[in-house]
Amino acid sequence: MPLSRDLVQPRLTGLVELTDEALIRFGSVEPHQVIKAALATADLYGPVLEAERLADQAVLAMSCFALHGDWTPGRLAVGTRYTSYYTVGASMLRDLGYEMWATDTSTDGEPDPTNPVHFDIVIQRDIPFEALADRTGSPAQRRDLRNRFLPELERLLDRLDGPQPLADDEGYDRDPWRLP
Amino acid sequence: MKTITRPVVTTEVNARMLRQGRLTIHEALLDGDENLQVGAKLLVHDGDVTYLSAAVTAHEGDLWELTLQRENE
Repeated sequence: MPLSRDLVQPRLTGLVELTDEALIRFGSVEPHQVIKAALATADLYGPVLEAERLADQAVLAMSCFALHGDWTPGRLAVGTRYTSYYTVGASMLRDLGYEMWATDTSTDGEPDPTNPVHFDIVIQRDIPFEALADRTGSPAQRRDLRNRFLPELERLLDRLDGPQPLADDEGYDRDPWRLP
Repeated sequence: MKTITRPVVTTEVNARMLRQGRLTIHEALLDGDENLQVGAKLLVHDGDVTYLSAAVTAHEGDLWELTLQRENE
């Protein structure tokens, strides 16, 4: 059986346009780690790129969620071990020229429960796929490739506020870790 | 002080991965000098405060399947 990979698709209904929502990010904001994750998922965006009429191009994106309606940080972190998060205003990012794409992810046909408020902040687009070949090259090639995109990524990461601790009073079970 | 001797891979660890005890990572998440192979042990860092023990349980092209392990495994 082939190994599981996420499928990323454009979200066409529900919350697809951001106004002044805050965007929230869990996990690492260390630039090399964020760019590694973006490079690792660059080939998952085929359906999104087709919708954006960017087929045959790669995109580097950073995953985040919109704090919208009853989607609180605690609810978004249900079932994880995250203890803190970072935020950034969608309107500020838009003013700075960043695109934010509403995307749904699924794995083995199972949609992620946080899909209704999932967005990708575009770090860089219009990248020829062949330009990412070194993402699996030698350690030096990988480092050089990451370094090419770091200035643009750091410009984005500088806008994030945090880390802010997740409140313990929202009543969500954040650590129901059960191994099979 | 505890010295970490196993490779560390930092990646999103979402609720599904924790529930299933398994995740797939792409080679691009690695530095390229880890010399991973099936059976290798490593640590999965969620980018926050949690490090999870894991073992490589499958390899296919640029993809590695990691199975999370209980602390004493």
